[in-house]
Amino acid sequence: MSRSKSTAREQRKQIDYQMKHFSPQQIFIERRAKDFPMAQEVLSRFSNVPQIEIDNYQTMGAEIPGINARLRDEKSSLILAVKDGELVREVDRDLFRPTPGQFYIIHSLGCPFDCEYCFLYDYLDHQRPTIFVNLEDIFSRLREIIAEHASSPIVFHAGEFSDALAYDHITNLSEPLVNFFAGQTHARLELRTKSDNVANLLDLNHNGNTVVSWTFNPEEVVRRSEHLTATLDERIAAAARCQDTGYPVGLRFDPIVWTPAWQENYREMIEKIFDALDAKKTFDISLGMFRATPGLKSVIQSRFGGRRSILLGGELVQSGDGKYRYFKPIRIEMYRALIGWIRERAPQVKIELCMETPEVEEQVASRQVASL
Amino acid sequence: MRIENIAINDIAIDTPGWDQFVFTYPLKAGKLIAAIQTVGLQQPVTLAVVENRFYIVLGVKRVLACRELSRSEIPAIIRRTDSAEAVLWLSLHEKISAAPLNVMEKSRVIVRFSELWQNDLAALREKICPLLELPPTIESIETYLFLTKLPERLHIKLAAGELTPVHVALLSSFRHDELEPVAEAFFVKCQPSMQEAREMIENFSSVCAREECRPGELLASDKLNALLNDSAITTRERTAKVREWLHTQRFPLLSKTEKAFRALVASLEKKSGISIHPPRGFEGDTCQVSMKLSNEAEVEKAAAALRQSLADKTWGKIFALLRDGGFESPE
Repeated sequence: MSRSKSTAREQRKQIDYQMKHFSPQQIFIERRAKDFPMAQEVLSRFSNVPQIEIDNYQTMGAEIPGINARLRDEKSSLILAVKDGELVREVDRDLFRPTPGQFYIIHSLGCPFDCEYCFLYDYLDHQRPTIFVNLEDIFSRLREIIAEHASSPIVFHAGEFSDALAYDHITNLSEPLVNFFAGQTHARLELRTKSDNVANLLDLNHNGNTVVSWTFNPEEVVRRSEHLTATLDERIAAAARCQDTGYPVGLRFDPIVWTPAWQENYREMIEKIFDALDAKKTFDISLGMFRATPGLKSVIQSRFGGRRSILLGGELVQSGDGKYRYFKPIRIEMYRALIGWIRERAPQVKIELCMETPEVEEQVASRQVASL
Repeated sequence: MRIENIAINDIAIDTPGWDQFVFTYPLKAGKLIAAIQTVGLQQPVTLAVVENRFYIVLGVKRVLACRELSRSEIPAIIRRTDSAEAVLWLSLHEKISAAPLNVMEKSRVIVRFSELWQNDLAALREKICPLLELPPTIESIETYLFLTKLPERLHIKLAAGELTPVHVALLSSFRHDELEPVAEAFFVKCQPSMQEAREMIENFSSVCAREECRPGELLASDKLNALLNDSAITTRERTAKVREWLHTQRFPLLSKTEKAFRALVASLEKKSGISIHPPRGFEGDTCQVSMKLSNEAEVEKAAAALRQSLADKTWGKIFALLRDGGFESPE
């Protein structure tokens, strides 16, 4: 192979790596965050990237006209900050069901990925990926909560306010988290991701206490609405690698997105997943239909309304909680179909619906019971 | 300040950027032509000098009127040494003090200062929005920046107050070449209220998304094209028909359920004088019943109709419809 071809391939690999593995073009750092070890480590990794000191991460929205230009600018940067106040948040509740013993770890806010349906677009003041460097405060809070809940199992989710592994090549946060939970007797960690950034996980002693879960969608949905994330095949390969090293792997079909070809696409995706993963070792599966607050719907509309976002193609109606969901019979039909296809390959695995109304749960469950 | 007579031919008019210091819209001399003809030009215009050419700062309508009247010269005050920013500020303050700016004039102010300050939104929010009495938000600035991309026909409607900026901002995510036909269809051929406009544009975008077609293709589809160009109906009727068609296209299954529901309750409502409303979007499994009764006889009539509807299983069908939309999926 000629040298120039080899160089070109290396460059392509580098670009591909940068696309898939977040690499900021600019770093903002809170003055008070500078001396934290994680901040030092991240800054040293990106010594060639402009680094700008700031006072407060919360007021860093880009002042550029055009929502897409603003988001591009924000998502190409990184903020290193110190988180005050709430570092771990108890999950209020699923839509109608209580979810006791569930917590979100707020290790970062915002995400380098650009999933068109992400609730963070309607939740955060700006979309600059922000990593909190005061790790010791987070771990202190985790210890306190675990001690307070000594009598019942509890779960900590690390992928609610950001992708759990999107920054792991920068922060290596998975290592202290997995190690910490490996030593727990009744607390579990869930790392939820759309990345294939699992290199740091593979050699860790997780003791079965860390569930690595993937959000899966057919490649059409990934390509058209989960921008900058790993492809379906890459996610499946990463999940298989984790399963091979003994991690419990969770499958999150959420959000399920309606497209004219949804049946064919989701069936094919489920087949692909269970061709690569051991169904018997699958920890659990959750299903959730695409939903959007009015604010998020308006963001999607203004970003992609005229550009034919596939998210806007389904029959979205407003539910009792104010969120837009697909018209009920469509949701019921899609849940029943997906569960049927999953059951063909994984008859025993635990399946749950999330953020769904009781009527739909009831309708879906009635068909499951009837088919037994 | 010295007043000079300047040859009108030496003033930039109709060349690119000729109105760079002018906020007035529309750029037409209008009634001023007759006024100047009758009483003459009452005050000089103000011009700036850019690369040895005169550019209008104040008095654009006077210049245009004099040109229309084939005058060769116009008295003018010349701002030879002012910076572009100083000239823009002068133009803006004079304009504001003369009369309230219309929407397109505000848009021109935002565009000019945005260009001058290289999209510095913070400066626009702090310095310009208060002068224009606009909310100092990014959204508001984006809306006014967007207006200039619209076809001229909409500029006129906006300036005349026949359309609001919030209406047309609904088009902001369309491609530039799609703006004109979409705007023409929904804001010229139809006259929707704000709420109707939002719904129509959203449904239109969604149908395009589902059908994977360009807006122009959907606009050219037989039914929509026929509705938009039906000259036998009023604009309001056209708006209602287009809106209904888009709703049916956007929500084929929901529309079917709505129709089935209406068919189920129609006779009961007629007999009893009660109104039956499904939950919004057919979410939830309860419906709302309202009655307007003014005497015992009406109460008896309603009660009898309700009893009858229980006996003939109408309510069973209504609740079945609410449970699953009436569309059992295949096993």
